Amino acid sequence: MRPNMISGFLMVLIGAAFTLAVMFGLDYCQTAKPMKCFWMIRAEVGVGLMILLSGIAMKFVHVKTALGLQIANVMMGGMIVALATVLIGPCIKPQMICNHWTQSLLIIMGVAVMLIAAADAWRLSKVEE
Amino acid sequence: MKPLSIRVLAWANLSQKTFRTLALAFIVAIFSFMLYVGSMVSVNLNNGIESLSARLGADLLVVPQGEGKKIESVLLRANPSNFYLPDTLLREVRQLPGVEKASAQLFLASLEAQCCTVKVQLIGLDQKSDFVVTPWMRQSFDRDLQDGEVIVGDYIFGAIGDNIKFFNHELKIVSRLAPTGMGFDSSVFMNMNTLRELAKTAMPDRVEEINHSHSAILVRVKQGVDPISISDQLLDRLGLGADVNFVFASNMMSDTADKLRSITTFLYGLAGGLWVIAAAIMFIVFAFAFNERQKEFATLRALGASKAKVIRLVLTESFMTSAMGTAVGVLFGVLVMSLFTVSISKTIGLPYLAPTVAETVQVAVLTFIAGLVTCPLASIQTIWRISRRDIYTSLREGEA
Repeated sequence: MRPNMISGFLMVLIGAAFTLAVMFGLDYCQTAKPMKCFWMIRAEVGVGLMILLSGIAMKFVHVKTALGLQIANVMMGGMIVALATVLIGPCIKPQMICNHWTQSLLIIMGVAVMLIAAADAWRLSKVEE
Repeated sequence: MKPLSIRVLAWANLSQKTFRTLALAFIVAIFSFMLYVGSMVSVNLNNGIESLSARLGADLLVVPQGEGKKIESVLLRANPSNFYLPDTLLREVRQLPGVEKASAQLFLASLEAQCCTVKVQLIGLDQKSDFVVTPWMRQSFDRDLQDGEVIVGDYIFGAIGDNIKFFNHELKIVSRLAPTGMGFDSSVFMNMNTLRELAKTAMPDRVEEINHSHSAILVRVKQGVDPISISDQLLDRLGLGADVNFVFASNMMSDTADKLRSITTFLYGLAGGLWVIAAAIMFIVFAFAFNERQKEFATLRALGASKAKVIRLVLTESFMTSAMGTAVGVLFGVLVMSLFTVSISKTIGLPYLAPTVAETVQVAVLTFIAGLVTCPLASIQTIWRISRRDIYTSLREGEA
């Protein structure tokens, strides 16, 4: 199996798992008027889909292009963290579920995506084409 | 070009076997993560219990019949409750010989509006007689609370000077308490008048009852007096129809300490089990790797490297793998412990107080050391085999 196939498969899996977890697994404030956390979740779904699509793309490109995509995925992980903290963030009260649970999980998942993508980028950088 | 030092050579070896390196680092990361999280949860629970024992100045709590568990929930787990007993009881308790101090508190649970607000415990204090909350409240606020003023626990949102709204009443935040690790972190303190005003809106049908009620009477007994004798005396005085429950602080503390002991044992047991598994996996992997790399080591020896240098190479590789895994594991541990403090304390349901920076650094350093030695320990057998083999046998092994 080509090394970038493994990377592609890994990122499709991570992207799909992240998107589904965010869409169906994470709590947010379901009110008539959408609150901050609702938009945070929406944006995170977008990032998850980007990771998934990058995984698909990795299967059809050269190893060095896959490496570039994987470096972009490190930044996607950073984007997950940024959306959950500085860019949008959850609702303001510390005891709200979106604040003490959803935001925390998103930060952990973002850091995990960054580390996995970075480790795989390191692996791809060692591959001789 | 970089000179070929042991470090450069070890890193080159690890880079060539990226999958194996990452897999080994991952195992060390899981162990380090579990050890860090387990240790921190234990430290935080210990801090919580110390905070509880320092702040719970009462020996005995008198609550309505059947509400003993609820008062523990209010104190330990921040589960807001409403329950009431007649205010005449406070006088009865104060008259008992052996009682040094007795003070009453009045509770009201705020509304929980679907998903986006959380219930908090509103607590009315009699500041003239209170000997439990007021003394440590004085550390942040040095006068009695006026009507319409509140002091909020650490988890309550709002800055000093801001208004906070309960039951359509705007109340002014005049101070914020330091974290306690107890239910008080999710509580709002006010004087009795303010709480009774809120109760008029919160429970209009029970206004009369609340005006002549308290929720709990906190009792401190004189030195040498057994709190059980106070409960017996009160029951003797009131008869069987007293409809009260007694919660003994010593029992609550020992129950909490027992639960803490079981949780700590479980967490350390899990971390210890994971360490054994991690070390066993490393041991097997290194043993197989040695068989694969015998010729590589022999070649290095033939090129002039001493036995000590080859051993240092193996040790450096294993230290590097350990360091990568431990760094990731401790990083995730720190993230999880700082992000999930509220969730963990809610799940465990015991007093839980975040540690100081010094405690965090201490646990992180100890975990790092424990993680760092895992791979080198597992490679001891490989080192022993390297030290015993001669170059010729290693190079010729496997040849027909």
